[in-house]
Amino acid sequence: MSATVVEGSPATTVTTHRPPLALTVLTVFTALMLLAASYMAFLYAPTELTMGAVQRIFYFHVGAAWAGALAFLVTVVAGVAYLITGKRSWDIVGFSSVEVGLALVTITLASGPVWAQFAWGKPWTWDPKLTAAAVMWLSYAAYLMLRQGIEDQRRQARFGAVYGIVAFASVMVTYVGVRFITATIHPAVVGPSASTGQGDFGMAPRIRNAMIFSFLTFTFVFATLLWHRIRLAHLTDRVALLKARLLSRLG
Amino acid sequence: MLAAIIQNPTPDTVSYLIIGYVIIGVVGLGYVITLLIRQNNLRRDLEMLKRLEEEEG
Repeated sequence: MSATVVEGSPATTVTTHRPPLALTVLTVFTALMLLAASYMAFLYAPTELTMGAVQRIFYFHVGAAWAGALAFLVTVVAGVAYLITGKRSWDIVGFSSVEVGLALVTITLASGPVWAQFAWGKPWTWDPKLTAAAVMWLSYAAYLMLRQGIEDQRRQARFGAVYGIVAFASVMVTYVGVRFITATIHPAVVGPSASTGQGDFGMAPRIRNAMIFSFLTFTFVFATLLWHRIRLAHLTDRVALLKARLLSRLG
Repeated sequence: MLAAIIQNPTPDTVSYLIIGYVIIGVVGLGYVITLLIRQNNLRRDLEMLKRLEEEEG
């Protein structure tokens, strides 16, 4: 498929159906990283003594949590950039990043209860950390739903930019704020915490290496998904533009 | 520490691990599949619109 130039579009762009070589390479590399991260999580890292195999959930659970937070941070940057420049491309980066971040945080929120069922005897508790994470997830799910309710593209973009910046407060509370709360039973896997969580575990060198590799892998997972999602948004714009053009001719 | 380990041997939690990674896989792959489906639908729409535009002249 040859390149097609769409002129006069809010997202004037040159796109082809086939992904660029760099994206293909990144996608393959990320898939290999995921395989390597799985090897490190299941075989390289030793079995944690008090929890057994279930502790291995943490490698992907925490990795996805990190990448989710990174995605929401990218939305903040894109939001600020949009408010300054008014460029549609920044809006696309912002909402694409929210969608990918939401998928990553869903991985964290869905896998955590499996570990909790063993460690705490119940899958969910209204602990400050878990509650904050649930509020964060709901905030960003609401972002996507509320955006859909706005028809005017510029208003939608302005709303998205401002909401994306404000909603980041929920990320700060979830990842940083709860570290100052002693009344949480959620273990702090990375960094200092005031709490003594139920299910804390020490980081043996191999556990630490696997965790660091997982962080790196999920960073690539985020970057790859974001790039694909941005391309999808540009494709959506092209379809909308063609539809509008055809309708104006017919009308 | 050693005494504690001997008294409390490492529990068998493999089933939890499997369930956890199945959930991770379902959510992750599920999202990738929705991306692919949306992309295919949009490409189909785009081709159809291009054809219509050509027909309209």
